[in-house]
Amino acid sequence: MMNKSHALASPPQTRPSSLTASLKIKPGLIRPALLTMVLVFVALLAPWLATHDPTQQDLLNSLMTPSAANWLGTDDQGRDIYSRLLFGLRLDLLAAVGAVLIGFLIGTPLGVAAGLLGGRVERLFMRLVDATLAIPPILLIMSVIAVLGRDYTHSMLALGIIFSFGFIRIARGEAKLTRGSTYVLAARGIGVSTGRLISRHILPGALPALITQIGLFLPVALLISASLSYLGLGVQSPQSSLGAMLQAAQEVSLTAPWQVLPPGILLVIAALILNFLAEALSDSLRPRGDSDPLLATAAGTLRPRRPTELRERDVVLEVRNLGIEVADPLHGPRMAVRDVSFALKRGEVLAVVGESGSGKTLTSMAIPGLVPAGARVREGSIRVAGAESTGVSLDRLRHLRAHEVAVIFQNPLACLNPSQTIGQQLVKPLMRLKGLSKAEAHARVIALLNEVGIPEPERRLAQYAHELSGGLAQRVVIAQALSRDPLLLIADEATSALDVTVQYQVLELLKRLGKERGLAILFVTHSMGVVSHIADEVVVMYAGEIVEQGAAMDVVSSPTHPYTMALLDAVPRNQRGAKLPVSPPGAAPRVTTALSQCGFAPRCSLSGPECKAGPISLQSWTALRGTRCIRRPDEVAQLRGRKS
Amino acid sequence: MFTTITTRLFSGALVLAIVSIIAFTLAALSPRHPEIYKLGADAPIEAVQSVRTSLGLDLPVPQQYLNWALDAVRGDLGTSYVSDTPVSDEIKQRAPRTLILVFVSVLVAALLGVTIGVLAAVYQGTWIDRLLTTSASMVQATPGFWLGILLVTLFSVMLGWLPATGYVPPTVSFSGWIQSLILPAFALGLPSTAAIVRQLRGAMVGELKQDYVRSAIAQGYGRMQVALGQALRNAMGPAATVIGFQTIVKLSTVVVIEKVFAIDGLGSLALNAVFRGDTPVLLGTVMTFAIVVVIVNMLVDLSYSWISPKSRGAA
Repeated sequence: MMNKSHALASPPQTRPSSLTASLKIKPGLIRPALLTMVLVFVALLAPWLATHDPTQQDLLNSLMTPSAANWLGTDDQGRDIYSRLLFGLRLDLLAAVGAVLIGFLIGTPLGVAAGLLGGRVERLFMRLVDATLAIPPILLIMSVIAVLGRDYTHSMLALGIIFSFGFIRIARGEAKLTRGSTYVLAARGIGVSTGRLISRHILPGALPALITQIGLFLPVALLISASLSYLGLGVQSPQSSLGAMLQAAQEVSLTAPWQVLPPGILLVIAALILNFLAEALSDSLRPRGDSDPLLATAAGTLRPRRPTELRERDVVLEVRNLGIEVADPLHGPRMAVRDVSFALKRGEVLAVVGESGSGKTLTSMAIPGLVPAGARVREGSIRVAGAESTGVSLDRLRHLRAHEVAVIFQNPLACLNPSQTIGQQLVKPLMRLKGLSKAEAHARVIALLNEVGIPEPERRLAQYAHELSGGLAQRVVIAQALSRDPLLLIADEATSALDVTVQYQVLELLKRLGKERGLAILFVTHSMGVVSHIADEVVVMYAGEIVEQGAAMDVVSSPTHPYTMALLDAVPRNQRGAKLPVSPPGAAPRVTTALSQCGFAPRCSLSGPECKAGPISLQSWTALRGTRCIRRPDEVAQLRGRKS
Repeated sequence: MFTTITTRLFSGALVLAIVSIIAFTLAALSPRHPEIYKLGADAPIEAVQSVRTSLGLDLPVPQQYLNWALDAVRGDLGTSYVSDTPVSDEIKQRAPRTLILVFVSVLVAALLGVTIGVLAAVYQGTWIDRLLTTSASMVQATPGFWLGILLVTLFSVMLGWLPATGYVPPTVSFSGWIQSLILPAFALGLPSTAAIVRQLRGAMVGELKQDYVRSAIAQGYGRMQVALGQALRNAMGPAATVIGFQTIVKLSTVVVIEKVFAIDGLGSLALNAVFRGDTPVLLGTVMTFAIVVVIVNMLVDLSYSWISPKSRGAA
């Protein structure tokens, strides 16, 4: 990320107009552009590169194999294949470029006109275009050639007409967009002419898409032109074309099968180069998405559940000295979570609280191995029911996810598959992952839906996610999580996307389920209000470290860290004279390896030189309580209600 | 659902009406000389005139169109100038082989394309992905007719495993029919694989980033279970579009492949009609192809509502 002061210090740049920006050669374009130029030069220089007259027949020396005189041999009429290839490529490329240019020159103005005129004319015109597209291209070209006669210029024109439809759509879209925009209405108001509107706004806007379209059409045009010559509809004898050469070669394939190779190979090379150019052009406009490493973590095989024994009393989760490294392409890797330790027992709710970027989600997602791309556990251990869960095999990871740890994510509607019914999504995991029969799974699901308070469960099973409300969807997701009988439930901002009343109900539900089932719940949230409602224990995280931890009641009633205090002050309260919630001013620091001072000091009103002298360790002012602050609790308590 | 289909049928009929006007206009613009085939080149002018009058060629073009269109709606597409047989008979005889060839080739392309697309997306960023997408681009740059010629040279001329040319109807010999379809179907279908691979890979990569996929992974689903059981169906919308589009492309390139394999289908019928100036045959073939295209587009539209339950309510 860019440093703020740095950004301010740099001189204001003039924004380049979109026209020059889109024409600037991007690095990925250099190689395909060079290859295309080679292709064009070969075509242009064909008369000089050729060793023979491509139409010169020599029937005594037909179908000769390569020799010093004829580098690639001769064809059925004794003509030099090498020279015919060069002239064939030249004519095929000319036909292809010509067709695309014709398409561009016809399509762009028509599209702009249709988009600017709008209304009935536009609708009628587009109907006509759509209908013409119902005629397969080669048949349309054949119909045009039936009118004009067989010649490559005619097939080029016909192909150009077909390509023009592509350009019409792009130009029309941009023109429509421009016509509707407010700045054009304003420009119109001050008397800007239509011509100016087109040259200054519509064409520059549409240019990247139009250029990409030219790139996409070129290889297609080359292959279609060659096909048309093969059919005898394009380039006519004695002129050379790769398609016509292939047609002649096929006639003699019984006696000289190798004749089909040179024209075909050259055609493929030319098409590959043009495809390469097309891909580079469209990539420079719209880069490809990057990879998704989570899927790779699901590659293990799943075995049926082993009975899990809880060793060490009832401890379900034990995180010790956890450190997580995150890759940062700009600044190199950094430790986004450092020295995090906590434990969670059966039936207990532990809340992990902090702002975004505090490392709370990273910490919780590390438990079932769901950290995002580039992040990995570098230090410490995570034990689920006494068994290590970091650095384990993919099989163990799947076992952990299917049988021991369930996760509820923030947006319940997005977490349900849009194309499967609720029933499929609840029943299938039980059959696939737990080996239940369909009837067993169904009965279990109905019971679960009743348990999480979903009315008319049978009816819900037939519904899709988009037919549910957010609160209902979250209950479905909770049922889905519970259906696998996990030991630990991780709820990552599970109620943040819900209405306040629904949020309250879901919290109540989770609390009840935790107690009834003896489930350990790890609740990740940014809201202290939620903590006081649901948690037994709380861990407050700031800049990748725990700044305060202890019993939720204690921490909420008497926070000992200024940051916890600030979080508590950010909770809206329904009381007379309550101030609007404020989050602490400033932002958390970015930490590469370890902090060199108190991370909160720059935002803290109690900070002094001793806070900046070195890293602060967790202090224990009272038993079962840890605070990463050197101020005495009574000093911190004075901050309550004060604007920091 | 019922109203959806009726609307689609209505707009399909409208498209066909417009196509018929475009195609007839082109036909009317092309030189039409049926008398050459009926009377020879040196026929007396009166005889030529009477032939042209009997075929309605001296009527105003809109009148000609109306006459033709009214007959066409009843299934009468006129008579070939060359063979003097009804165009619709010729089309009925040849259409099955062209349509079967296109169908089988799209099936080949779709099966290969979906399989490769899913694998490339699942193994995205690895050597498997690069190998699959690169080979797909290579195939895309290969023109089907050259591929056809190569396949014939290899499997028929050199190895003698499969017939080089011709079409064997299934009623004559079922195994002969399969054998006669294999090479043309691959030559026609393979180049389409690349487009399907690219589209499906892109759509799958997009789906695999979605929350529901992360949720499925968190539930302990395996990699292939996530890809096939969760993401594939949601990625099939764009794939259905491109498969439909490729079917239309195949309805075009089938003309070339029929020539490579000397199959007497609709394509070669149209091609011969161009060479001989047999306007009624060309016009009838164009209309037949347009009807197939309209039906394919309709099926693609309907497939959306199967793929996405959300669009069912919206349609």
